[in-house]
Amino acid sequence: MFKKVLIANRGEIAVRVLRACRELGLQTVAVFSEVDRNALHVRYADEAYCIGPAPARDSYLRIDRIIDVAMRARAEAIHPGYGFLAENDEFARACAEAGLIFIGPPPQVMQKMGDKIEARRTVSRQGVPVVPGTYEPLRDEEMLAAAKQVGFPLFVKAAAGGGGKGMRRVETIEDLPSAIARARSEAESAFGDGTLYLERIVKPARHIEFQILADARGNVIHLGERECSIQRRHQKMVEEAPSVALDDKLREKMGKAAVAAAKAAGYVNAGTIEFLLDKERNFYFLEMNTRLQVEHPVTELVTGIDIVKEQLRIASGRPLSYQQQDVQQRGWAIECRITAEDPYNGFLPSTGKIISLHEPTGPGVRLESALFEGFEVSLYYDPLIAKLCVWGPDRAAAIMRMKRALSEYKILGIATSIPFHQRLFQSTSFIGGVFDTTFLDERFTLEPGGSEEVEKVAAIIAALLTHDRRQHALSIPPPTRSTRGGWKRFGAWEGLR
Amino acid sequence: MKYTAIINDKVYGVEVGANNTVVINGQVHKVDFRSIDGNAQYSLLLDNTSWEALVDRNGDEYRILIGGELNIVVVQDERTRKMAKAEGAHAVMIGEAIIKAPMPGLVRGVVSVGEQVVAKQGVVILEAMKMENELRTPRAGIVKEVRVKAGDSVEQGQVLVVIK
Repeated sequence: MFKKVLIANRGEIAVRVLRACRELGLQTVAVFSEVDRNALHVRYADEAYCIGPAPARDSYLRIDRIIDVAMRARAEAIHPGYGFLAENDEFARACAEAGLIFIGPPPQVMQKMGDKIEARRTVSRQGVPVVPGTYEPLRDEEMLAAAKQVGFPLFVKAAAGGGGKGMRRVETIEDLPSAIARARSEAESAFGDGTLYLERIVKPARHIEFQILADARGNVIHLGERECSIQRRHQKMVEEAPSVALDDKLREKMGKAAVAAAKAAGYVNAGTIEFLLDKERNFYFLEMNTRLQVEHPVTELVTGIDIVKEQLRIASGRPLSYQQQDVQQRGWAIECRITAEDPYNGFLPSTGKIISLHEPTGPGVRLESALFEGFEVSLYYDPLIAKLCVWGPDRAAAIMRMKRALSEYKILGIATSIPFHQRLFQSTSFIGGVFDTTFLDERFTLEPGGSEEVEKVAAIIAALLTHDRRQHALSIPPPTRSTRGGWKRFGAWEGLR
Repeated sequence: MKYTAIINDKVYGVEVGANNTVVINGQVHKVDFRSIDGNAQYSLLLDNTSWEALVDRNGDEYRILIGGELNIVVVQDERTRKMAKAEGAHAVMIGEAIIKAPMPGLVRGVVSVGEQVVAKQGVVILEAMKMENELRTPRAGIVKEVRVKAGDSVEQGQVLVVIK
């Protein structure tokens, strides 16, 4: 196996990959932007190189600089993590040309599956069911004509898309031209490619995806499903494995389809086949993600397989460590994506310095995080700051454990999605497993307020704090005014009781 | 000392007494209230029931997070309560709504002067953290001023649009 790996990423995923490398005894090289000098991935790696200013296009997206660092540091392989260059076939090609191993699929496979239109064609040829829609790049007027065939409501999606960007839901034909324009402009700015396609909305549906591992010798296995229906505006917020919607028979059927889809693509390394599952338990291929997924830990927790280590082994040319019959799901795992967004303020991004941090631990808790006290959450990068994962012997135990872990998790200095997750885990629909992809947007609201008991406690706390301020105001000058948006320092002078 | 805590139009009378006691709804409770980190984290033992809270204050308004539930509490003592009454509670409804940038970012789109808007309508699209964020007006009215245009970079707190 290669001895030295460059991680072309930042944040919690860079740390996750670093850990796998460390545990395999591999040397590690980090790259960082000017604002990330103090970041954990820089400090955890054996070597670290600055690759430019904060904006990603000047640093983490600079293929030339990353390849240059790899050559200088004599790294033999590059792990792209997810986001940034992870699904950029140009980057994978540049690695190959420089004699570096790209830890992911071959560039031509990435290109084929990254073009969602091409991906739809490729897997449907192998008999894998695909969501009804268009299969060719179309001009605006052709799309208007095709839309009538596809039927409304439908999605306008970017062929190069992902993560909900360049995507619009359209109810009627009148709304289609403006939706096409907005999606095209968003897709062009996000991916540099404005090609769009139409897809019928399968609704209600669950988003179920299968983790794939494939080696360079043609062996392909799946590691079971992940339930990813808890989405806010097409952004996954909570994932679990397994899914309450699948039984062994359906799991086997979908798993076989996922393996067939990966084989059709000529896939190598870790990847994910996304399906929609409708109420009648029909499933449709949605797309393939040609990279490690944010939610990979839930699969790791129920299968005991370290997916990142498998990626490294596959990239070094080794065969898979497992055969399909070796893969067993045990117990239940759930992940919460902790983001720097204020759930009580329309999920607006929140930035600032982490002034205090208390992380949950204890049995069955796994935290993937890049936070530390003093870390500055900036506007430059994705708001995902940590992933809180738990394992339990069954779903009920996993839910109780997640509630426990969330209540221990304290991040001060920025607003986070933690309160949203706490409220979600109180929802009877969620606890009952009764949800689909529309649940968060249509049947779950987050409003200030809550139980009467908590309200009374809040009233007491506010009165005590006001009382204390009044008492101290007589002798001590008032503090600087706190502003909304962050938990500002003001308690220090209050010196309560 | 007597305080009035208002949460979501609900009024709680809280009397902070001597010897670490409070009286709420006529009931006396023993309190042991501590700042944990000198910042925003507090621990309250209310008759030995343990509560943890994160608190953010802006003037007399407290945003208190307990177990994921956000309570927005406005506290008044007798003097400030009378002042508030005199000013009238409708000031917000008839005044101007000023839409400010909640974070630095790039303006992607904005309404035009003179446009009629309804409450909760999006008036500015601000790109930040790789996402397009829609800023909404809290109330209906007419767009009186537009101080930015698409393509402008704006600072946090910068006034973008005024609705009258």
